[in-house]
Amino acid sequence: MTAIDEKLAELFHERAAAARPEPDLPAVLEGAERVRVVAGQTRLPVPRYRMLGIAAAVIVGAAGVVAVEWHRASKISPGLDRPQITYPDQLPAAPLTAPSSAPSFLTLATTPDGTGLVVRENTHTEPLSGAEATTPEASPWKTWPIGGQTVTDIDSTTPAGFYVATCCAPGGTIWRNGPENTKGTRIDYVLDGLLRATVDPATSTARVGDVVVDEPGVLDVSVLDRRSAVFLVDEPAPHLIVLSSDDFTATAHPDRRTIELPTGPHKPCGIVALEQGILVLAGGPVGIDPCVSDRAFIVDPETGAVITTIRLPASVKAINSDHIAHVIAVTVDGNVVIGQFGPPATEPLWSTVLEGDYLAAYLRT
Amino acid sequence: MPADRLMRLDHPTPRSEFSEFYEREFTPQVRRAFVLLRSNEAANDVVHDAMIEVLKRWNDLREPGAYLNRSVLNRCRDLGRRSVTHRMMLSRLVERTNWPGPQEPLGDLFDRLPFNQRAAVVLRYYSGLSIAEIAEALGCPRGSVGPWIDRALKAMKETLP
Repeated sequence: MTAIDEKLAELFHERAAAARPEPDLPAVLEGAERVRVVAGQTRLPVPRYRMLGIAAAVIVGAAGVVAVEWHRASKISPGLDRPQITYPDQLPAAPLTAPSSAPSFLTLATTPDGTGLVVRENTHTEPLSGAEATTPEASPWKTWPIGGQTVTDIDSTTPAGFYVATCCAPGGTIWRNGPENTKGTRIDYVLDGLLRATVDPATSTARVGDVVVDEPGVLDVSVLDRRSAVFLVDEPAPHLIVLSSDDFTATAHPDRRTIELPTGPHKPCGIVALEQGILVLAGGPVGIDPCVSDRAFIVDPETGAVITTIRLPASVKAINSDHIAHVIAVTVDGNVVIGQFGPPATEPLWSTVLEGDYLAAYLRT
Repeated sequence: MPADRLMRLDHPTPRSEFSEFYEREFTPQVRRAFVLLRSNEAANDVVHDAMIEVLKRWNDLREPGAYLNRSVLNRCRDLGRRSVTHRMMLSRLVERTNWPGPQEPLGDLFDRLPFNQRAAVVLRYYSGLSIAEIAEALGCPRGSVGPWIDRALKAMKETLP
C-alpha cells in the first residue's frame, strides 16, 4: 500500500469506529420510518406522524381524483386545435457504419424454431460499427416455451433474469424467468429502485410498482426514473400521463400529470424514455404488432414541448431504451438497430448490429 | 441459480430470513454510511429506509445484499444533493462527537470530493470491494470506477502537505 492508501484506510476505520448503529428491526418490519430530526421541530411520536401522513395522502388523493377527472374531461380534446406535427422528409442513411459508442451489454430475444424463446447476450467492450458487430452467443438456459404466442417486449430483472411480454391469449402475458408473472403486452423496468411498469391494453390496465390504474386506451409505458413512469394513452386523443411518487406501493397516491400530444397522420403508438425526453413513436398496429413505426418525436416531460422530430432508419415493430441515450429497435424484417442520441437533441446515429429473425431486444448498460 | 433461491422467490416473505439478513447487514452498513456522511442520524436513517425497501421487495430480490448496497449508496448520494442550507442546519443538529474535525486535513479533503469519487474510494479502501463490485454498487460502468479512484487519490496527494 502507498502512504495515501494507508492514511485513507486509517481514516475510514477511525470514522467507522465512531459510528453508532441504532438497529430497529421491529420498525422495519412494520414499515415505519425513523423519526427525522428537523430544524425548529421536536420529534413527533411515530403514530401521530404517520396519522398526519395518512391524512395528507387521503386529501391529496381525493383532490387528485377530482383534478384528474376534470382535466380528462376538459383538456384532452380530440379536436382539431391540437398542433399538427411534421417529420423530416429525409430518411437516415441506414444502416450507418459510423463509429458509435455501444452499450456494454446487448440482450436479444428470438424464436428460431417458433416454439420457444431464446435469450442471447452480447458484450461490447469496444466501439462498434454496423459492419463489425459480433454475433452473440445463445444463452441456452433461457429457452422457454411461450405457448405459440409472439414476443412483444422484453426487459431485464436484477441481476440476470428477464421479463418477457407476449401476445395474445387473449390480451398479453408477462413472464418472469419462465413462470407467468402478470398480464400485459408491454413492460419497462429500471434496476434503480426496481421499478416495474406494465400495461395490458386488453383490460385497460396500467401498473407502476404496486399501483394499478384503470386507463382506457392505454398503449405503452416507460419508466422515467425510480420515482416516475409515463403512459401513452390513445383515448379520447393521444396523450401522455406521468405518474410520480416516492413510493409506488399499493397505498400510494401518485401525482398525475397529462401531456397532450400533437396530432398528424401518424398516431403515437409507442414510447421509450431517454435522458433528454420521451421518444414517442408514430405509426400504428400491423397484425399483432401494436406499433409499427418509421418516425418519432421527443417530448420534454417537464414542459410537454416537442424537442425534435426524427425519421427512423426502417419501420420498427419493437423498441427499447437504456433510459439514457440509446435505443434498440427490431425492424419489421427482424433486424436489430441501435440508435445513439445526443445530447444535444440532434439526429441520432444509427447502426445495424444484427440481421436475422428477432422479435424484441433490450439494452443493458 | 440455486434451486432453493428459485423456490423462495415465489413465496411470501420469510421474516426470519429477512431478520437474519438485517442482523448481519445493519451495523456494517451504518458504519460505512457514517464514513461517507459523518452523521450518525443520517447514516442510521439511510440504512433504515433502505432496509424497508429491501423488505418490500424481498421476494423479487436475488441478491438482497447487492440491492441494499446500492440503495444505501443512492440515499447517501441523494442526501448530498440537498441544499447547502439544509446541510448546514443538519450539521448543527446532529451529534458530532468523535468527529475527526478540521485537525484532520485528509478527512476534510476527502469530504470535499465529488460523491462518486468518495464512494468509490470508501468501497475500495474500507470495504475492500473489487472494481466490478464497486461498479455494481454504484450502478455505473466498470470503466468509470478506476478513474474516479485515481482522481480522488491524485487530488488528495496534491493537496496534502
